[in-house]
Amino acid sequence: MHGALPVTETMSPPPLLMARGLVKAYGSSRAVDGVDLDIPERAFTTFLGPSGCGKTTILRMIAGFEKPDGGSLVLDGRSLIDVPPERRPVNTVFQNYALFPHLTVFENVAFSLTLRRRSPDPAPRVMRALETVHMSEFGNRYPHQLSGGQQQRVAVARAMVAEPHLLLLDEPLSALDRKMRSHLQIELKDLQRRLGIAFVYVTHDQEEAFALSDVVVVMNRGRIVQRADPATLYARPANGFVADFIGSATLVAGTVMSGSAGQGMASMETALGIIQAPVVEGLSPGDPALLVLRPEHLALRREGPDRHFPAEWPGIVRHVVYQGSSYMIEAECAGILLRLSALMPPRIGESVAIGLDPARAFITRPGE
Amino acid sequence: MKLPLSRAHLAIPVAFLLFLGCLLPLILLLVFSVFTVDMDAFVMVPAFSPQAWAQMLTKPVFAFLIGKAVMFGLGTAVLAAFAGYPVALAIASLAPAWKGIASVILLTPLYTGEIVRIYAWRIVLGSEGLVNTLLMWLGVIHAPLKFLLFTPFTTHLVLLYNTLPFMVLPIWLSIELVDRRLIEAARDLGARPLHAFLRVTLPLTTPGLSVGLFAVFALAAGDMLTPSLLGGPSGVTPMSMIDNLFGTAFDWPLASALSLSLLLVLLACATVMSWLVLRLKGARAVFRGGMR
Amino acid sequence: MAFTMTRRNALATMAGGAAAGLLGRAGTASAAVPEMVWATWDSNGHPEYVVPFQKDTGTTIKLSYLSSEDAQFAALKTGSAADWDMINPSLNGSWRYIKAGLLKKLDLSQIPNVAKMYDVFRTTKKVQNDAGDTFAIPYLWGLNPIVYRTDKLDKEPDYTTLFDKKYAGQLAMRDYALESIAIAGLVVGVPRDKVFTMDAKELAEAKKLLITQKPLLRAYWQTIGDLTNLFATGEVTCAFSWRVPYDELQGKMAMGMAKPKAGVMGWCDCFAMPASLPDDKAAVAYKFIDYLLGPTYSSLVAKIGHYATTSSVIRDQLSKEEQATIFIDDMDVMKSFMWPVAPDNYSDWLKIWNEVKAS
Repeated sequence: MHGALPVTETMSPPPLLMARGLVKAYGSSRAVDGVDLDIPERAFTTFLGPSGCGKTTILRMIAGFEKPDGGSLVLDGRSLIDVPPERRPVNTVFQNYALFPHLTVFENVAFSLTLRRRSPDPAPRVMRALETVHMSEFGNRYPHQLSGGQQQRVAVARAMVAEPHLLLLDEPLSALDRKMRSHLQIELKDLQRRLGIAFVYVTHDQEEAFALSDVVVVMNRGRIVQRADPATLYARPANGFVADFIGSATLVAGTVMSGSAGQGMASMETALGIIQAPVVEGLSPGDPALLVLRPEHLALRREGPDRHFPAEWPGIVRHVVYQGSSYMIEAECAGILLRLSALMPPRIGESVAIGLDPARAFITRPGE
Repeated sequence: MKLPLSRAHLAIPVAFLLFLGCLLPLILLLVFSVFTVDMDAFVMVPAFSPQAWAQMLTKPVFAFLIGKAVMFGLGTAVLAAFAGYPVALAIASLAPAWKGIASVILLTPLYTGEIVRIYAWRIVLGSEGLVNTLLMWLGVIHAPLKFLLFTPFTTHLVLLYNTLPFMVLPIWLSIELVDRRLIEAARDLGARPLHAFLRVTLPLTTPGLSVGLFAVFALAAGDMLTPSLLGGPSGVTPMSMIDNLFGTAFDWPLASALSLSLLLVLLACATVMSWLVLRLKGARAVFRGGMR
Repeated sequence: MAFTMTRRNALATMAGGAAAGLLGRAGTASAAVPEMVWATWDSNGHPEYVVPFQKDTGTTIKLSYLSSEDAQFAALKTGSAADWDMINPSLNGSWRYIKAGLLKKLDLSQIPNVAKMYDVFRTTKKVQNDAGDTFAIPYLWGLNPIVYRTDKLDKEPDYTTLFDKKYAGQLAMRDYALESIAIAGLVVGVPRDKVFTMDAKELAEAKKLLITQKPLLRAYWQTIGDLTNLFATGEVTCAFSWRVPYDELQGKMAMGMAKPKAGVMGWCDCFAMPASLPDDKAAVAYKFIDYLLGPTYSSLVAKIGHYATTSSVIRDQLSKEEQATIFIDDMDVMKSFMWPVAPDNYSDWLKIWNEVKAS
């Protein structure tokens, strides 16, 4: 395991993995369509996107199971293109774990350590790996005798015992129930921190991506849409696709009126009126744009002017959905359904006022 | 009261037929084997006599023939496994459309009658046959290779050819059932293709391999026509001996004793084989459904 | 279908009756028997051979071809041949049927043509029981020669040729205990008339010789079609055979046929009736065996099948060449004939033969 971070950290070291112009086509459709990407050392990077967006294909190209049709892939300064999977310092945790059914847990984990004729006794390393995933009791079991969560742990142990420079995880939690999933998310994140190696994770679950990742790469139709840390992704989505895919949001269409590029603010004309808010880079006056309104940035005012918002619209409550800790409310304002949350539920059909702090809204490009 | 009808119950009619068609004749054979034949009146005498079994156990010719059948069975099974596995691997790696074509080609020998095939082999391997004519024309040899036809070599070759589909088909099916991701996992963990094959594909296809071994063993050990029509003077088999004893010699007790002995030995071989198979981890993993 | 069949049978009956009425020669018995089933070999019972008989008597002869003598014996023994009216045991095998009580005792006075049979067949004891009653009539015979390629062998072969290392890899022997062991017996020096009663020591010597012969053989042949194929494809150049390959391949390759002086293996088929044959059918059967011994059948089978019947009835009408073809040009051949007969200890012979083959 690695010790403290080196001092030169702030110098932004060269990336562990570098992809340039990566292309993979199946017939006439391009699963991966020109991807440029850097994956930093020791970071937890997640590919996030709907199914078929190309995220798994990228993972498989990194692992070596698919050969790119174009572009370059460089790991540790060495091109991976002609290196077979077994010679890449990369290991994979498969979606359905792909544990060898004819081998015990111990033998599964020891697999990579026993391939060379004169390998040293693998037992200590295997036991350490099993301890790391809290599975040391289960060495003699066969995969079919384990629960899904246990199999997943074994798959992780098997992949990391080989000490890869990069651990690939292909939707490893998707087959588990919700409770087990959140439990294992914490374990995985913890493990990554302790091992100090780079994890590349693939998921279509945005909450999982946010819970785990240092960097999230949002993909759509074979291309990268945005690469950022979770907070940035949420607050400043690069376009309507990201805003819509990540979290809950009301997207209001409109036109950019004026911008002050330097300060990152612009005003935008919408059905709700003219609103001034932070803006994505590169939009000019006259461009079509989307106003991203997150539920928690809107407020419901029911009686009395207890608090005034810079922007406020009258509306009628259309839907109320109980969500445990709060209510999700859809209210119609100027023909637009605004989604927000509230602690106390209004009646359906009630007239209310919806307030907004424009500083927390965001103007972005229309989605794809 | 509801009768719980499980999948196992569906086998009852077949089990009944198996009993009638298989066990009953065996019981008859057992009874016949302790009778004697009145060679004057040509009738079996239902009086207990250990004579047939005494001959069976003391005359080396019977043990020799049964041993020969077992060796032919095992030899053909092992050869077919080595020849058939690569074929099965190749078919499994084809595109789906080509798999259909490959399986049709693979089964072609089965569509032609056995006698037709036997005479075709004579045309191919005979003294004036295709192989010898070609080799002489090329100048490789100056006199026909006589060992090609009517020798144990011929029997082995033709048994191998005849039984190959029964080896390839189950292995192929077995390979198709191995999750591709397991191979990828092995490669990912550092196994070269050969190692991935030896440590993952091969163990997990042992059920197909053993079905093939069983089928080929039974077919080759029990074949009569191929050895007798292509094996030359040494082509006698327990089967042809049984045929001879039942028919020409009218010695039903000895024929019954030989039939039962052959059956027992072949069953013992099959039992040992299945015991060995079930000791294999790969086979056990597949049989308990661990592949899913 | 059932109706058609019935009508066809009815028509056959009517035709038979009409024929009987017209010709007048046929007795009432045959009119009552529209059909007789004859179990025989395909070469003995070619459909053409029985046409004149059917015309004469109005009784249809239905041919049921045998697959092997053993199958015939088994069918009679197990009663699965209830529809057979006339059967075809071999001269050597007749004793089996007689001992097992499967055959009807024959009244020779009802078969006038018996008088014209060659002595060797007329007087044979093999078709009689111990009391001297006759149960079968030999009617067709031939010899099993050595067939060989005249272009591959420098002299006419005899039985020793079949054991000659010089011809290793091109010889074939019949897969038949009786003849093969007898030939070995002749070669080791057992006199011709003792060959089928060899003692244990002689048998052991014959067995030893047969085991040394085995590596020289290309094959033990089982069917004559198989042997013909072996000759045709050049695998075998000399074999103890039937005449079939000689006839079939004549003109295609240089075929020869040798009758070894040491003793020619003859074969002879007999006519017999199942023990339970009713009298009306037996009457027709007597007419039929008389026909088989008469001139019509003799001529047909000599010209088409190249076989001779046991009757001398047409011998003088045949050309010398035709006589030669069926070995009746020089009746001295009869003197060198050996009629293979299964000995009492035949099961020992079979065991020896099995051991030779499995050696």
